[in-house]
Amino acid sequence: MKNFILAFTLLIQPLTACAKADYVSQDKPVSPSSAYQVIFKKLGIYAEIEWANPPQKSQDSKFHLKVLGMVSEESMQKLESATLEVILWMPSMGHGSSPTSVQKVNSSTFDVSNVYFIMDGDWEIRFVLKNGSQVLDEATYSLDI
Amino acid sequence: MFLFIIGLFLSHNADAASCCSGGTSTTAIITNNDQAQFTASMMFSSVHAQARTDGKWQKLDGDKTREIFTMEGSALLGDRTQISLSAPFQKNSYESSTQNANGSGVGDVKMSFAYEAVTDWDYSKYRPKIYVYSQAQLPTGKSIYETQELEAVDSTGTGLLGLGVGAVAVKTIKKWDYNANIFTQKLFDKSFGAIRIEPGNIYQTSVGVGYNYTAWRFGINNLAYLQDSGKTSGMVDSKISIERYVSSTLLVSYLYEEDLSVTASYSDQTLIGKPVNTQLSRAVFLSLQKHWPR
Repeated sequence: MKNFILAFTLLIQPLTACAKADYVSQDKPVSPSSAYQVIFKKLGIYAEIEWANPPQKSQDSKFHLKVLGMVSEESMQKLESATLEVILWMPSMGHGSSPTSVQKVNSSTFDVSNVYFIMDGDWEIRFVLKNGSQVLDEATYSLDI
Repeated sequence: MFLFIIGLFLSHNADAASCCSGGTSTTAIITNNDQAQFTASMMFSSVHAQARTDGKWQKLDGDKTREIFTMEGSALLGDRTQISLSAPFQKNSYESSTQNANGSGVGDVKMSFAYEAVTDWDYSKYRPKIYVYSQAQLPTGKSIYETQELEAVDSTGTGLLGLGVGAVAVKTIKKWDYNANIFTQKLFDKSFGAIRIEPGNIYQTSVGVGYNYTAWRFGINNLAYLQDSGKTSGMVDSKISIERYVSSTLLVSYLYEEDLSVTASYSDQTLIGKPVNTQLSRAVFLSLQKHWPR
């Protein structure tokens, strides 16, 4: 009942004001290369996204995920046998996009293609390192399309 | 004569909605002395901008349009009870300088049961008629969670089962009529592939007023919509933001014959309120309604 009252209060509140259009700039900022960092905290792996072509709405973007460093020999061994799953996700709306394709080039490089952002807005690229069905570690990179 | 037109627009003031699947609407309720009514309607909407979660607006880089054709029937079961069925068909298009995409399909079918809780059989000067109703939404539309198309043009509904309850009050005083509607709907969890969706509840309320002149009615209506935050689990554990907007509608109706009326309206989601996490649309709505008197 409390939620119900709160929800209807929230509904009434915006009726009290005219909408004010506050547009975001159409010029997307160019991210510095350091902004493409991906860190797998559990395994202590530090990687970087290297775009083959820049991320754009409904263009088939591609990138390489390159591992630049790791904290231990154990992490390296786990990474060598690991597979990578890459999920595109729009957190505000709670939906994703079409499945990406991931190819392991070597133990420290993954090629990711079919990166297809279907609409403008906030997106996440979610990386899941797996050994079979076991999830070893996860990392998320956020970007604005 | 005036009141039967109210029943026409109560059902169609939320359709110009939201992100990708058209929001929600409530089915028509007979508020006059008819035995049954049938409505065929067409809505054309265009997305003006995307309201983001931070409240900022973002222009799309192309034109996104939506057409919804809806057939809707309502019939009395008894003196105070009635049922309704609404079946929409939706077509979405997106076109930019470099890309275009189209999608279409059946939307979410809705059924409702209404009970006239407060009657106006003694023609009270001030007491309104109040109807309470329940509504079931069937998951017949294609959900945004299933889409892989550009701008989600293949999404035609929520694709979720929903159960809602609401109340409508209507009152005519001389040449003016007034209406208010509150509605809340529970959407049920559903898995789409490896992702489980736990959607937030929907709350909406609307108020409207109309002026009647001979066979014409001129009305305005404001509808506020809120979908509470939800979450996803499974392949992706994530929180879904709230969605909020206010839709303002201007409408004109004409009673063509005693049993036939036409309505045209314009709805705009960019005028009032602080929209969040939704696509702001402007829509034109045309409908034809046939009545069967008691």
